[in-house]
Amino acid sequence: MNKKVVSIVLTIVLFLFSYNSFAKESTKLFVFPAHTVKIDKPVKGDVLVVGKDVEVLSTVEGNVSVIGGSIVVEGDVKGNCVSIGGGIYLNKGKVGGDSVTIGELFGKNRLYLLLLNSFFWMITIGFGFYFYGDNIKENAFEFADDFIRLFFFGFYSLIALSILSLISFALIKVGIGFILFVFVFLIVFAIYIFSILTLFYFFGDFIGRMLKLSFPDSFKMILGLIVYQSLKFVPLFGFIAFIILLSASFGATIYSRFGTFKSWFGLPRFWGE
Amino acid sequence: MNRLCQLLERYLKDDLNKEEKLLFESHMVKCAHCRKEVELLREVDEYLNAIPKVKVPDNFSNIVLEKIHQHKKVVAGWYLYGAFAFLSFVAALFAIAAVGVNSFVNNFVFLGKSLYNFASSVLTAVVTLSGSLYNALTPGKVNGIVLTMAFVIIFLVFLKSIKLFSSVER
Repeated sequence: MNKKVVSIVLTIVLFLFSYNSFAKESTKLFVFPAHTVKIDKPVKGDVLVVGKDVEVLSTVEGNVSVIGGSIVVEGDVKGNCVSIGGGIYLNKGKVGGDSVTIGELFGKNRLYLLLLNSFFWMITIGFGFYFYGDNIKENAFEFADDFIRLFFFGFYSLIALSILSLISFALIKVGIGFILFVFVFLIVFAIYIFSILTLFYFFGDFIGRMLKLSFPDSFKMILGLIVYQSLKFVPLFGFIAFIILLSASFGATIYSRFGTFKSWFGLPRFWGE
Repeated sequence: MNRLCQLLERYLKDDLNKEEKLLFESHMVKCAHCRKEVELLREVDEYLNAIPKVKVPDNFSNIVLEKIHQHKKVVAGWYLYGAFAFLSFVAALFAIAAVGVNSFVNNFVFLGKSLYNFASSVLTAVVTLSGSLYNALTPGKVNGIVLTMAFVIIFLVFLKSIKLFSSVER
């Protein structure tokens, strides 16, 4: 079939699916507020809080959701209560819908989370480095070779992909978002896994060079994993360093097309050809 | 078969001396079998010569061996994970035998229930959060379509920038 016709049909379907009739509802949004949010006046729509606790003293007609905080209900919530990374405490209050807490256990037990995370990365190293070892090495070389440029590009792509995932997540309400979200999630997941494996190899290789020892590749990856996990224990600097390294690694992964150095979408790569 | 018929192969290779050649050619006039054979083999030869010749790189055998090695490595990897899966299956069987089937089934049902509860709570969380986020992002009336258009535009710009960035000359 004609490419143009297919794209037009797809566009129409996309817009048909994204039409909806929830225009009247609104959300009270609090992103990283300075103090605990107190809802002391009746709210008609939803309440969404990011990064702090919320106390519901009055009536909320819609849902109350918190990411990275707890909910204390002293008033009346007609919809659902969702807390990610915190708890829900009913203090003479009432919740009309469901109360859901996710990740409360993980938030409290840091060691458990660390072990789980390390286990995941060990398995990923096993699979990833066995099948794509050469690509990861190439990518790590590219990462170290052109760090600053790749950092800027990676940071840009991180922001773009975050916005895309946010929009597609919001669009889940209208249906089309589910497909878009899965699509964006798979892209981000693949790039993220590859980038982190690249970082592992880079750390391991770097330590090997510093000590003037030649480690086997798998040992380098394990060393990298240790460095990566220990970065989490450094307050603030660890986080900033992680974001910078992840950005550059993201950039390298996209630039080298997962370490293969083939062209994206058939556009010729001028260098090396 | 005549003794002269045995010269056929060398005749085709042009490996006979003058006398032998004359001898064989005079033999061919009488022997229909040799004539046919020579014709057929010449046709085959022509056909083979007509196929375009491919120049193989110097390290061709190395490349082939390397590809075989890569393939073997991948296959061995899958076998390794297959063996790992089999071992864990056997270990699970032993564990079931040790614990007792009844208690295993009970545990399994419990696990299923908790997984179901977890999935339903995740679903509630996703629906609630996405609804709140959607309402926060869309104060106007044509909301859904505008958001989708924004998604498409940002995605296309992102693809274009990847395309440009990864083909820049350094």
